[in-house]
Amino acid sequence: MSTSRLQTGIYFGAKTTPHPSYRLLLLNASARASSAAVARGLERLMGMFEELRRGRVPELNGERESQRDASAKQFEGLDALIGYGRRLFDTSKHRPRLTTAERPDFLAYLASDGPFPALRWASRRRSAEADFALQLTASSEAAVSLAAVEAWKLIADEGLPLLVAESFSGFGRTDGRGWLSFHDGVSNMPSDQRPHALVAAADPPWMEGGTYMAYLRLLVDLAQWRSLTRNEQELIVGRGKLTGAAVVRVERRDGRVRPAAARAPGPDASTTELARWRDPPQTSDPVLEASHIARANQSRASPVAPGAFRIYRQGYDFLESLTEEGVQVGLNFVSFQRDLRVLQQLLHLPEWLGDANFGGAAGAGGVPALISLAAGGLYAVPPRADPYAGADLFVGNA
Amino acid sequence: MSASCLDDLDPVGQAAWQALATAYVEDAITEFGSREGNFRVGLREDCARVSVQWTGFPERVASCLGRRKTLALLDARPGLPGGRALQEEYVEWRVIRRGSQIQRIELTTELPEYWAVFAAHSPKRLLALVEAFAGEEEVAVRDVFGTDDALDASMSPEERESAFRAVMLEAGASPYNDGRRAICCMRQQSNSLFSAAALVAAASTPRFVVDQFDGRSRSPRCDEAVSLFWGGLAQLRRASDPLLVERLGQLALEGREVALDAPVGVYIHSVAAGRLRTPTGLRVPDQWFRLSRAAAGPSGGRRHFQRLVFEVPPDQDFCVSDLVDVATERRIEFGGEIADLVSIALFLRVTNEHAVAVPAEPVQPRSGSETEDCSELQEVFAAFRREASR
Repeated sequence: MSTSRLQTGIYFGAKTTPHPSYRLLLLNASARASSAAVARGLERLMGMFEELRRGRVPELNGERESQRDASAKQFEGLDALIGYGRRLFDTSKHRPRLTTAERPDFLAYLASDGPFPALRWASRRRSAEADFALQLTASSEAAVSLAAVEAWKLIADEGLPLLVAESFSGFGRTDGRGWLSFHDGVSNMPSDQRPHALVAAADPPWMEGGTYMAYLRLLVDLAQWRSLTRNEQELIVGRGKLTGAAVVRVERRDGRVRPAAARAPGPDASTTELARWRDPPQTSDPVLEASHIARANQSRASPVAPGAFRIYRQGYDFLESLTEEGVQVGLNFVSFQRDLRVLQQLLHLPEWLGDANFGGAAGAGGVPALISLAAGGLYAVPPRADPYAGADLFVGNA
Repeated sequence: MSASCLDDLDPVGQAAWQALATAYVEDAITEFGSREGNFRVGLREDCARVSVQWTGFPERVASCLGRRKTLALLDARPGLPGGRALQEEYVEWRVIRRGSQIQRIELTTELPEYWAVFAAHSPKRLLALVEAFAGEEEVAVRDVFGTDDALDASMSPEERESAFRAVMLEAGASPYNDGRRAICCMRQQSNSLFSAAALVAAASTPRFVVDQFDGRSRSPRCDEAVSLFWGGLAQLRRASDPLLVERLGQLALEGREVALDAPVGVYIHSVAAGRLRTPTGLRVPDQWFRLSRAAAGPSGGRRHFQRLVFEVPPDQDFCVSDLVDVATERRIEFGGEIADLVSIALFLRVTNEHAVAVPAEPVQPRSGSETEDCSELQEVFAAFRREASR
């Protein structure tokens, strides 16, 4: 299974660390813009990101080489990935239509009354459904934010038929933890297995060798989370808070349930031990099976198994606000998968995440909702192509 | 091993089913297991209970043909290529349409072997059940047994079973199990107790491999394990087989003994009803999915079902075809779209770890994933297209 056609910005390789700074720039085509004009506009934008990497900032055309080196350093590691949203295929939004390409079955708008049975929209919702998603990642926050603003400038300066719809930012952590203070991303699969989870089939043909991106901006109710005891938190997550080791059994004493985590693997741990630490085997204990890590990877199987519903996660935290009213934090949940059906199954099937908001038992008496969705959208990420991925989608370009 | 399932069978029939199920497991162990294998005919009731679950949409077919073609092919009417022959995830269905509009979808996970015993020992009850499934007051004995005298005392259970198999199972032409008037039990070649037992036997041999990247030992992945099996015993691109292979391989390597949980069967575990909306955008109630043919769970626990009927209640002015799957934004056109929402489960009993020894030497799987030859499925689809348009 070849990953050679996947766009840059998906850090699935062995010993590859995702760039720590993230910005998602969402664009729509201008009303009544022609397909050809939109295609040219995207080509200009994608070309500009390439130029920024070389230190060529459009507004500073003609600057000295030493200054250009400084600009190149500023944009170090900038990767731009382009995705195509459900909106692009929405003929009610685009007259004339921008593409005649077949819409992938599961490239859909997120349901307005959900979007998922146990993951509901936040009270204040932003839109992340757009024609185009540009994922910008780089070594610094400045690089991704400057690149996004350079895109805005180019659109304005050259009158490109594109409109900035929204923008979201986030940051990576080097300690491997998330806002819940637990280890995050531990269950991501070994690098040699990731292509099976990532690479899309030729259904429709234009997606062969590409992948699909899900963007979910999840708000975390940190105050509520912190009101839980450490035992409760560990049972919900399914890991020890300090070590990250999986909870492998529960002890029931005096009507209380206590988690018992596996000993963290030492430096000489075997692959089997490490794998079991990451993805503990299924148990018959309903408390453990209701934990987040069990629900999110219910089958514990490798991504070679199509029914395992494995996804490759590449998330970035965010701090929305910190005021006297409290703190608003969350996770830009970014996942790449061979088919968006995989994500839909994961978030709809009971005993996966279809009947629990994050972890814990389903239904009444279960854990209160900790996560809500502030914005979200699904995108097709076609394979690399010349002049840019997905250029063939536009009428007249194919 | 307790194989009792429902109250269809009298004590003699129960004993016959028990004996048959036991024999199938023993044969599977002999033929496809190994001396070191961990698969057992039965385990104590206090052993832990685990399950392997998958969804009912045939992944392998879609990986070759794409989803839309697959959905059409899976609903091929009897006599056309495709249809039930490709419903290979231990669940089969029929779609009841009025014109092009879907009125009802019926899914079953009932084992053909059980129905053969049922036919042999309780033919009158079986006939009554077929009548209920078909919604008909009276079903001709010949249509279910291939002969008019199947209910006569002069016919032996063996003769009755044989007659039933010929018309109702595999390629049998009875409209009461080919989907035209009813669906009673599974009939696709690999949707059987023996196929499941053979797979469990093959996968329950303790094995480990040395990882080619870091040189350390681990349980084989499905692509590695399947390369060691008899050809055709498991198919990598299916939803069910790879999950069973990996789970059982892991359990075996942990030194656990494994047995099929009683009552033996393949069960409908849950339904992702939350994906469907009515034409006015309301969530489809769970009650529209009617589960039946239940076996009691252990110690009075959750019941397990083998039949699912999905339809819109008659007091509504729309039908199944008017419902929308929010994950695709498409109206329901095919039975496979409902199968995709259904979780199927095989339940197992397992001992604690280290109950049996694990091998000291690694196995050498054949390298690489199985490359699916799609030409056969493409030919089936071409033939379906050709014949359906006649």
